[in-house]
Amino acid sequence: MSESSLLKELVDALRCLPGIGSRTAQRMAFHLLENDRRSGERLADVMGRAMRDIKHCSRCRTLTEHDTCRICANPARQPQLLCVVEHPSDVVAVEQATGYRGYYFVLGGRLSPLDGIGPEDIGLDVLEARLDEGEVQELILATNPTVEGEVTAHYISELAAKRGIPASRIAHGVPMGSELEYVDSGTLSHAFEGRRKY
Amino acid sequence: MSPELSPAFILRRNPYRDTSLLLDMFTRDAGKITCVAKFGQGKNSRSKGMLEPFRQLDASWTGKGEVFTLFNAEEKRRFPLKAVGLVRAVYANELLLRALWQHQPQPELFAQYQQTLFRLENLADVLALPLFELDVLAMAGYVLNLWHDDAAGHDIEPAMRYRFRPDHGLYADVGEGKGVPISGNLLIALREPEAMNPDQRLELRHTLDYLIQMLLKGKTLNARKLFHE
Repeated sequence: MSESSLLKELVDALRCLPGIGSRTAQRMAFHLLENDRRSGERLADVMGRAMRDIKHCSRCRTLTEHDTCRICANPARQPQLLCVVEHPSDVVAVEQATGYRGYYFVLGGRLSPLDGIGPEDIGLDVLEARLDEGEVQELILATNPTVEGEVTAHYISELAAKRGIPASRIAHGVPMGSELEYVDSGTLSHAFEGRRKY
Repeated sequence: MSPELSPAFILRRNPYRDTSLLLDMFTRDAGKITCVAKFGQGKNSRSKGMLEPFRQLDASWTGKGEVFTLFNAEEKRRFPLKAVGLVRAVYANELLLRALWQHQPQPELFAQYQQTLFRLENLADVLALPLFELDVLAMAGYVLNLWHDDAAGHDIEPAMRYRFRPDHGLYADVGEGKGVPISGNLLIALREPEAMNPDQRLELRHTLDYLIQMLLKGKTLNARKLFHE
């Protein structure tokens, strides 16, 4: 590495990205400085604005630069359906893959008592206030099928039950195009339990 | 030569770098250990799915020091826990994580944990978790004498109030305020726990909360907030 401390700072800064080690960070920094300064400047500009302006939607807690996100601001969606997901990226995944037309609630994580993450850390007070508004008639629990995701789904289903709101859990099963031989026992047993009439 | 296999459970798993997991495990032969499990892409993700809590594994590991490398793991049995059964099992895992010392084999407690997971599959089994908590407390030296008070040796009287301190054992409550309060009625009921009535089970719950708080030097388990029993 050259003596430039600014260059070293850039490499160190790039290492904050997931999956980027020191060699890749160094390659990225040299590429931007030697071959593509315009893209580098654009990246710095967008990064600066995004970090400053993107915050959490006041209704669903997904990421947006507005007070309410595009989905929450859309009156044509079905207000009686609320889908609870762990992360903003899950909203994008459900939007792209399904025809779901209800609203979302983003927890920003999942209950993980072993890591000290409790109900107050994942916005459940905001979710309770949303349920108390009385519009939601079905709560769809789309947390991940991990131990923590299941614990979170169970806890939220109890919050819904207290208010007489039915909760449903997304199905877990064999991924499309995969082979049964390579599916783990938990998924396969869920798939059998959740089999449907053909 | 391959390292020897030991029955094991994962208590907690966390991502470690991009392609690894950091696993806190409860093994029969080495007690609580921490292992790193490395993964590639593709079909290896099957074993990644397997490395979850509440699955009994045959596992082997290599290395020295505090953190080992998982060498091999095969699933032997999956405990399909649901709803409050799953929450109770997460509580049991947190209790083991906090109460066990690293690298100290506890084969008897391992068998009790295995039995507890089996019982927790039945959501109506409200005694499985409290009995396991008593097992963990006993492992840590918190043994309640159900027949005599430890100070004077008198028989336990149902109408008497007692207190327990790990360094003193059980003694008659003379109002000095230290130690965990326990009624004679509960101690006698614990001789046949399966026959306890709802009031006695509630008192046991409060007593266990006190005892575990004492064991964990004033801390409460986070998972305790997730169930109301």
